[in-house]
Amino acid sequence: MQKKISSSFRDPSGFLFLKNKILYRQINFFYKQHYDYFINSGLFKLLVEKKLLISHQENTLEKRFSDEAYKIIQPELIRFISYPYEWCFSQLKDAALATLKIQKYALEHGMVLKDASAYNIQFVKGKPALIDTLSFEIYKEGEPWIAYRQFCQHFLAPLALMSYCDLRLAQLLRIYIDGIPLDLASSLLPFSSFLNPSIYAHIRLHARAQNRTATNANRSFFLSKKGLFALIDNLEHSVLSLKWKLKATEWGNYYNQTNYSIEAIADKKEAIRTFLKNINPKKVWDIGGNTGLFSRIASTWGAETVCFDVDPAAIEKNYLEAKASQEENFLPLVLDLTNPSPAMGWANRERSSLQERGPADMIFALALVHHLVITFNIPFSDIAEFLSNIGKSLIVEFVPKEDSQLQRMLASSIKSFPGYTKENFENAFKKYFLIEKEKQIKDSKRIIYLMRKQ
Amino acid sequence: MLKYIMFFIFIALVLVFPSSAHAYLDPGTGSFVVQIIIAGVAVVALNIKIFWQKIKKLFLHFFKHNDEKQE
Repeated sequence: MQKKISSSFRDPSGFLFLKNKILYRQINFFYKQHYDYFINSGLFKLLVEKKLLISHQENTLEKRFSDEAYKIIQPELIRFISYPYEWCFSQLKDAALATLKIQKYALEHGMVLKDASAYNIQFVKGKPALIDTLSFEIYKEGEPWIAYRQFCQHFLAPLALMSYCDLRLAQLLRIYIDGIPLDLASSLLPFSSFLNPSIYAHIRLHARAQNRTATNANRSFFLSKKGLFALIDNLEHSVLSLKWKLKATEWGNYYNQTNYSIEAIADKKEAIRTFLKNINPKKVWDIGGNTGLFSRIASTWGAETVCFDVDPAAIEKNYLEAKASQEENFLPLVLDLTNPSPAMGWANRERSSLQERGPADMIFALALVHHLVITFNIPFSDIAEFLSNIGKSLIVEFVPKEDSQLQRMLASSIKSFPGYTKENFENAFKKYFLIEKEKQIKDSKRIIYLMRKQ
Repeated sequence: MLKYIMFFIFIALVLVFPSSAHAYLDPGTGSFVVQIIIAGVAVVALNIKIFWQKIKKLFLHFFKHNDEKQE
């Protein structure tokens, strides 16, 4: 049984395919010269050592998908594929810097990146790394950088928009699969952003040049190697000059958001630890995980943990913490649970939906269900069904009406939600899950459950 | 400082850059033109910086030399 992976069809150099549930990459004869150079020049070894590229093992040609095969390689597996529209500001910035670093190393070895797609970067053990081994080609002195525009569209434009306008504009990447069009970025950016000469040049002037006409479209262009290095340096400075910071006072709110006493937090953490031991999950998704206080119980315990939250500022804080403490099995991502990442791209198959990337062994839905019911009017049964589709087991918290936070939420709502009871909650979830354990959190009215999918 | 030097050279180059037209470019061509300009400016700025450092060094060396003589 073999099947092509639908995200890798554009490049004639090769593609990914699954054979007996193992992922392989076929390298076509078309790419032979570049691949051999890539390996023999030492670039492959260097990038893998620097953790800027995933490693691979060469396999026998018997595994080939088609006759065009020159080599078959088995790439290192990525634990969770994430997309640029799910990254926070610093994740996109680090991915951009990694791409430029790779391009510099490539140039030093006589090669060049032929594409600079943000989708070719994944977070591997907490660090951005290139996953497409076929992104390199032999550099010919004088050739301009073919991936320059793609770099600006995938990285520089969204970073500038997030930095100068609004963090939420990163979501434009979800609409424009090949990065934000530069004319659109240019028209959205405020005048002040163009006082930054690099942003003016790489975005505004670049956008104008694309619409401009020339006397001779067929004329050849020459860019010296020194010039190309200077361009990459300049792009690096431009990316580094873009910053996003929340005011210190606003950060404080993230610590004070929970409705728990110290004793209650400790008890909740202890309950989560016990439940984790019961299930022994390898992959955990914490949905609505905010700054990752509870997700980190799973990651430090040893599970591959992804922490999703709708708030890009919380994820930014979360990522910076993970980066500072070099957490390898923890990945924070921006996700609106009421409208999760869909399947998209060509034939809706290039980028997978959240559900297609699951199921996780365990889902954390802590202090979440009441938000979905009261703020978004989603019935218990629909929540239970969705959670059963993305996870094999579940730690879920029920916040009763007597809870002070819920009282505040109800006071500002027109509806009274008479169906919001513990009994209805349990009955709805019992349709999809077996309730294995139930625990009242000390010094709190909240209840935490361990459930297993039926 | 370097940033401003670059910016002025850049504006000057943009002004002299021809904008006349006969045929539409493919989207890649515009990107080639822009990166060549930016790279050109960056290289010129880098050379100015190196040149300036050399002059500074020369002067420092000269004065240092004089100081030593006076001693």
